Amino acid sequence: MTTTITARSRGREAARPRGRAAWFVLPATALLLVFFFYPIATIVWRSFTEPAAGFGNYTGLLHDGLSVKVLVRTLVTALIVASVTLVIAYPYAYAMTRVKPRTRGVLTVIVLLPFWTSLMARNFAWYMLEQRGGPIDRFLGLIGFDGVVLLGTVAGVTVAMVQVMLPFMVLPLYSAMEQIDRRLLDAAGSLGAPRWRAFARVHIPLSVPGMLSGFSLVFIMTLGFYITPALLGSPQNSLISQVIGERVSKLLDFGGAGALGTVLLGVTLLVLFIVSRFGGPAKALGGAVTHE
Amino acid sequence: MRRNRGIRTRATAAGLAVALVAACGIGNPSSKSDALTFVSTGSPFQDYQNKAWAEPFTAQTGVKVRNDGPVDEARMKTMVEARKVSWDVVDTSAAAAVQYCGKYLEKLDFSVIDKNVFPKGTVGDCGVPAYNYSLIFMYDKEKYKNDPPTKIGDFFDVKKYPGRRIVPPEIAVGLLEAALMGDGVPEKQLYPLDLDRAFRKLEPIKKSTTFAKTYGQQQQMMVDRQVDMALVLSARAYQSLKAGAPFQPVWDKTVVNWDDLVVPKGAPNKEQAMKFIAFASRNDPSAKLAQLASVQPINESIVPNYDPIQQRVNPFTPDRKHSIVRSDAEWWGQNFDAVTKRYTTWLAG
Repeated sequence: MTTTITARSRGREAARPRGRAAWFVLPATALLLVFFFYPIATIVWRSFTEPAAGFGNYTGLLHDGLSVKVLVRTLVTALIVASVTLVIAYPYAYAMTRVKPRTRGVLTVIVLLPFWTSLMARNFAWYMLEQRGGPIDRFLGLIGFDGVVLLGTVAGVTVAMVQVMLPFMVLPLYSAMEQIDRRLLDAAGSLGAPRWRAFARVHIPLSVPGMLSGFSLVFIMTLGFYITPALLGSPQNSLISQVIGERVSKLLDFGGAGALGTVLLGVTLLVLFIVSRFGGPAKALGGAVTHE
Repeated sequence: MRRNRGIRTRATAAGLAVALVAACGIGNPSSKSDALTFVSTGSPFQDYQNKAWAEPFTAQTGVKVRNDGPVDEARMKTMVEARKVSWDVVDTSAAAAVQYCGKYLEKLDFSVIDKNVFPKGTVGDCGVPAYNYSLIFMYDKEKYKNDPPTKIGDFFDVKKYPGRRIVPPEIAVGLLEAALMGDGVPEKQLYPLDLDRAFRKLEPIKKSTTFAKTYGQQQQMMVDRQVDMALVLSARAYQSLKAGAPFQPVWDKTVVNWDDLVVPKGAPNKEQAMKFIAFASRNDPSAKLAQLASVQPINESIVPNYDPIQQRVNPFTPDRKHSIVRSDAEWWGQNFDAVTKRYTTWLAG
């Protein structure tokens, strides 16, 4: 009872500063409006008006024999990248919640270290690793798989993207797992659940918000990722961002590129919508940070 | 209180509007006529152009040349449409000069630029040739030491000559022409290109070929010996050989293209741009660039002072000239978009 009252009165006190605080979002909103929504609106508009008004660009995407194939390839790649990062990141994030603070610090730095390294540098590192005669090729040659060149293949792009995206999965997972009350697992144990079952029935369901936010973050970023596929992929295996780039820079086809971009935007919004159905919009975007 | 807030909002909005206008103003070029902006590929190549063209031009006329790059037709289109052009002279493909003439490009002023210095049939309304570049068929001489390839058809023969191949990042520099001539099409009947036949010929090499994303990649892969055969531009062939790539040219069907100098529509320093183009077209600047960058002068009577490695990749010597096949810029200008679409679809398929 007391707690409710204090909470309520605190809420009332907080109301006024909070109302004023709304003004603090104005610069950010203005910035977003001018530099994000306006250009996007222009792109969407051009996709319907250039070169001729109507749905020409969109029906064109269906029939050009390329866009649909590339879109599917991109979606599948994004799905694989997000799934693989989830599988790799989950035990890592779990370990982070179970170790001493100092070890946790080390584990966090290990996740963040590549994050602080330039994206170009990381991609070039993969370029060196994956090329013909590179370490991966030579190692696989030693164990009997000759001439496996990952450079220029979807597999090579996927491997590199998993590494690039890993921090985006580990961090939300960790922040979600950290919120999990360990006593619930103990309670499950005291009620007779073996440790694995307590983990499967209590820990995993409670970490779902983190999984959702990490998965959607990585999935969406992979969908529109340009540098890694542009550098490590090949025109034979291009992903959607490369096709958009090609349309704009080589064909000056702003309408067609805009249509592709709009489709990509639509897919992204759809993913966000689905995720928010499962976990609530705040959870989908901010992960378990909203728990407070 | 409310009133106050309203005023503050308006003030913020006004401030924002001012900031916006200022931001747009930044992109606005100053229209001083004692300077111009030259746009090319960037990389050492543009440095060579500066040494050969811009520096002597500035020395002679006092007009400063500012550099920008890389050439990006999309950016040019955007600038022309927004009427905020900051480029004056652009180095682009002859095909683009045909394709965008009048739309994104100014007509050139031939009272300033002398038409007679260029070979017949190379001058368009919106562009004049700047230099020739050749697509050379090269192979790793150690890999094919026992039975070296001798004709363009060998590039497409994966049975007789297995190995990794690399082709240029741009489709309009001669890959399709090479495929067709490799398939036996006589060079006189090359254009209009028989696309079906060309893509059929490319099919067998698709898997073992790197379709380069940049010319730099092409150069790097030759030096690192990631590839065994290449269709490579003369300037890049030169850089590769200089870096020690053990490659040897085959003098059979070398497709020659040229780049044009053009002026974007609404260029701020149009007059100076015309003078610059006229200057760059003269023999001395032309020869200097050819020598620095390992390209060939438009005026073929000029013999640049090539070093021994450059001589190895120069298709314009008397004993190699037979291999030269000229690309048809007019045809490419009209068909570039359609071919590019078909090519990317074929590649990604």
